[in-house]
Amino acid sequence: MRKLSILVILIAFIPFASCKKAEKIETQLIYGIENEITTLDPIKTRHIYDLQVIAQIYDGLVKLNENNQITPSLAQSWTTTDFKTWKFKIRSDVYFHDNTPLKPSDVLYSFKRILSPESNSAWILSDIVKDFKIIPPDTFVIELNKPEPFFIHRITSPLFSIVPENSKNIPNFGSEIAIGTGPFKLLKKTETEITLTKNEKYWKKTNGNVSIVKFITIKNDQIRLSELKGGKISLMTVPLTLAPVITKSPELQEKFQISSFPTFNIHFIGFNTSKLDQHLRKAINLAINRTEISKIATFNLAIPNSTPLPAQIWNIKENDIFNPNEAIKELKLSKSTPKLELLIHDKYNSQAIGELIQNQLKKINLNITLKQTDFNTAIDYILKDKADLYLMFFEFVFSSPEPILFNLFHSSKIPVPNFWKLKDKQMDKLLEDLNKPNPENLIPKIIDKINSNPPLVTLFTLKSSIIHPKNIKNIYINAHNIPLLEEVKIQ
Amino acid sequence: MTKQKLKILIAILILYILPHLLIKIGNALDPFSIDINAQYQPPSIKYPFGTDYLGRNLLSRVIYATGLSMKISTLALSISISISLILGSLAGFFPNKLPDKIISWLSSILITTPLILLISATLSIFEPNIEITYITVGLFTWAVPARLVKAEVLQVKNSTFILAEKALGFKNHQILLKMIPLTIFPALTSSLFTLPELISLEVGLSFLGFGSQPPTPSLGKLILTGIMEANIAWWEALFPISALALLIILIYILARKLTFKPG
Amino acid sequence: MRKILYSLSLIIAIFTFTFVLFNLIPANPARIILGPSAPEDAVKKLEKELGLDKPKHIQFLNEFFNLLKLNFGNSTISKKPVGKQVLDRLKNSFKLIFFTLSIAIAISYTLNLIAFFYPKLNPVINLTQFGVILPTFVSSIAIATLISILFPNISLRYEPQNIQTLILPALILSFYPTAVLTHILHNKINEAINSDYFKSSCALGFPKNYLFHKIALKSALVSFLSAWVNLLGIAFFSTITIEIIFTIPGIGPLLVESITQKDFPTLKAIVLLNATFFIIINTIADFIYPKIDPKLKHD
Repeated sequence: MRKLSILVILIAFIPFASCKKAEKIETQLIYGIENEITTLDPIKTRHIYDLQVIAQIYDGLVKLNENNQITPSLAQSWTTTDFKTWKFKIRSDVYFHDNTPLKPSDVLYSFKRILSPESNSAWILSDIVKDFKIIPPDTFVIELNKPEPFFIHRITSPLFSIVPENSKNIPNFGSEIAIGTGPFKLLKKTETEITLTKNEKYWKKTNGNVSIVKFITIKNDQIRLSELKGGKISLMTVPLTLAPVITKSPELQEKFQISSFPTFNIHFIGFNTSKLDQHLRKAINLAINRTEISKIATFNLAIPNSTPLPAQIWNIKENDIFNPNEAIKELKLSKSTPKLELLIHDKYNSQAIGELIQNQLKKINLNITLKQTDFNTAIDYILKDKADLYLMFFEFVFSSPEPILFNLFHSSKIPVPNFWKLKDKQMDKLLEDLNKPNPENLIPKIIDKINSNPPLVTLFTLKSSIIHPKNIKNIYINAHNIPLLEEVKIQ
Repeated sequence: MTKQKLKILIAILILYILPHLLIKIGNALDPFSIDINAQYQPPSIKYPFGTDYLGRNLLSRVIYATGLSMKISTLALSISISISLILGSLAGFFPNKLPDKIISWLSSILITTPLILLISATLSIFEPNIEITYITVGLFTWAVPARLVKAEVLQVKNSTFILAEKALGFKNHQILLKMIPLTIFPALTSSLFTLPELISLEVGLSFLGFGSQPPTPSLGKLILTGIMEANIAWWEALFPISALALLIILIYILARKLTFKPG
Repeated sequence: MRKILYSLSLIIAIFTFTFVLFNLIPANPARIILGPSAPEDAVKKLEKELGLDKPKHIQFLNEFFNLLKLNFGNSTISKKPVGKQVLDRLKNSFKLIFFTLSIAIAISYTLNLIAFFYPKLNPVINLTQFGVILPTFVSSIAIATLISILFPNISLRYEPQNIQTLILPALILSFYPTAVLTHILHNKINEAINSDYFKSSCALGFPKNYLFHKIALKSALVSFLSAWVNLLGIAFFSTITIEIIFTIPGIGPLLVESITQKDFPTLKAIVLLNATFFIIINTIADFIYPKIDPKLKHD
């Protein structure tokens, strides 16, 4: 009896013994984020932080890589003869996370959905797209109502992710369920934590070794930093409030690495062009020392920038136009001397930026006062014409300069996003000519025109900076501020 | 005028002059000029309190901010005392009748509910503005002084002096007017004790975002930035908090000296 | 019964106050929810949904009835029901406050007990007077900052799951309440000691334990209790500020957020729920006082 019981016990242990050897070491990448993810449905989101997760779960037709070049994604290739009809060859042999194959009808459904009334990104395509079509067996066609050479740059953002057509039968799609073709699958979603697992059947071969990605919401910056220090999260964005602490701490510099990437955004001072005359605006444009602002207020996490196009992404020659002597001369030519008040908000260290600007303008004998409100109220005031000078920022969704310039300065775009109500026929014509092929010569002309009669003063482009331990390699963020995680290697 | 009342008047004078003095001194030492090469300097001979994130002299900012906070609080106190005098007298003069019932009811609300909530809720519908801040604080803090005034009025009302006036045929409102000077001094001295509370309220409100616009320094904002950056710049936290503590202790000692009744 | 009605009237007054404050302002709540870039007709649609286009008195009654159903509306930031969010945060804040005050009670009781049995320690207790001077939030901030500078690795962060992390913030916050309670208890006990009743009991040979608990403490109880109730309100303020500084997930950060982002439904709920809580506690205390000290039974 005794021998039998010993045998039974021994046999019972065998499965455990073998289990231990078969256990895989799962490499986890834990991303600490500031906000709660509101939705995983690409057409319902308004926020960049949702898109950071969405980009891991879904693919679009094309994607921006770490060098900000357009690379094929679900569209294997594309052609256009007249820039009016764009044909995309849809990759075969791609599967959604529920093992159904990707078909051109899914792409058609996704794009039609983007133009539907419940979509937040319809405005990106609604004024240019005429129709969508499918040419069997595998071509998806977008027809525009006028030729646009840079059209492909409208759809590089994860806002244009492809969802399965049968998602219309899933009522909680986006809130609890998310099915895409992307490098990671949604495993679990709670209010403060999203768990993704590697898509072993991903159509692209990747060298990354991350098997689990978690996005954990930790609202407070300092707590997030101490979680990073304690190894409970693998990486986080460097918030401006903590930048001085992070960049000056030798302990952090030793164990962690800060990687910065330029993104499509500009931070600027906007003008109410009807209240301030050309010379006054030009004077302010010349009097701002952007390098100083970049160094002090953003701790060198931004790129000083004097054109309205994001810096270091395209081959736009950047000139530092800081010239206080010229500014004083321009100021003398100005006939209006209104009481100037700079409206600042509470994001991105605006207080320090505002104080620095006030100081710099004082040096050319221009005295301004500051008024700080919260971000929503600031936007409200700007739209209601209650602000003559205001600090603001844009995050652009287009990946080429032409649509950005058009949207910012064409008279048809008043009042949003042409906040400064620029109505200049010559400028309009130049902007319309951007539609013609090879517009590179036009862009410097447009920028010169802007600098001679500035509707805004660009200050800097904020880089997206992340901090992570040194053993995490190959982590990149593209210019849409989207982390590219499929090639990440944890050593 | 008795020595006691003279002391009180001098104290009040100090309370009103000191803030302006502090602000003037702070201004003289230049709290606003930015020196980007002097960011985060520890205390030295040139900068006795060190510098802040924009290289500004912390000593002048702390002095200016202390003066400003004190000014806002004393202005709020003035409004609070004025209201409490009027309402307290009314309540004391007609005890248990309608005015008293309404005033007591209102003061019950103000005493039980945390003031910070009522005040910050009211301020949230306006833009941050110093005048609106101290007016609102004054409007909500009359409850405790009013109770003291009412007690004082009740006491005086039944004193022989007043009974004599009544007997002589003076009308009610005339007696009321005569009583106010009698009751004002005790009320003023007890309200001095609420000044620290008002200062705390003002600093707490700065934490919530109400107060002066940048670049004007206020104690609350200085303390908040100081605590957040305490790991790299301990002086940014130490000096504003010490200034606040010192201010409050001084006011407390002042109030104690005035109310200490011998025997 | 009259007292209960009175308290209810106070609560209704606060409700009216928040209604007047947030519904009669010029800003458009629907616009705030949808953000500045939303088209005008979407704003109008939301206005209709929220019932903002009805006349003010109808809105008032609607909100009142919603309140009775414990429906506080949705937050303009998170679009989720306000009631649950505010109650969760309140739970955390009040956990901290009650823990703080319990520590204060425990320490003040112990100190006075010791002083009673060893009268030589009396001067030490007198020192507590100085703790009373500084408003609580100043001492809390000062001590907390000092700790975070001297011991950078100690986390002052409070996690709801981890009760241990509650200890340090509660200790810091209890500085002022302990001083106050010790001081009051000390004064009242001394008063009691000097009363004839006590002196005669002492002479009659009652054990010291009995003397302390049954006689001295009992007479001090009412003042002690009312001090405790007052401290609740004071501790609330300092707890909020400490929460804001050390990012404890209580009502403080929620208050800041709802103010800076103009989330009026949340702000309304915070004011209303807190006010109600304090009014209820005060009413309960008012009921208890006469039970402890029958001399207070008259109105």
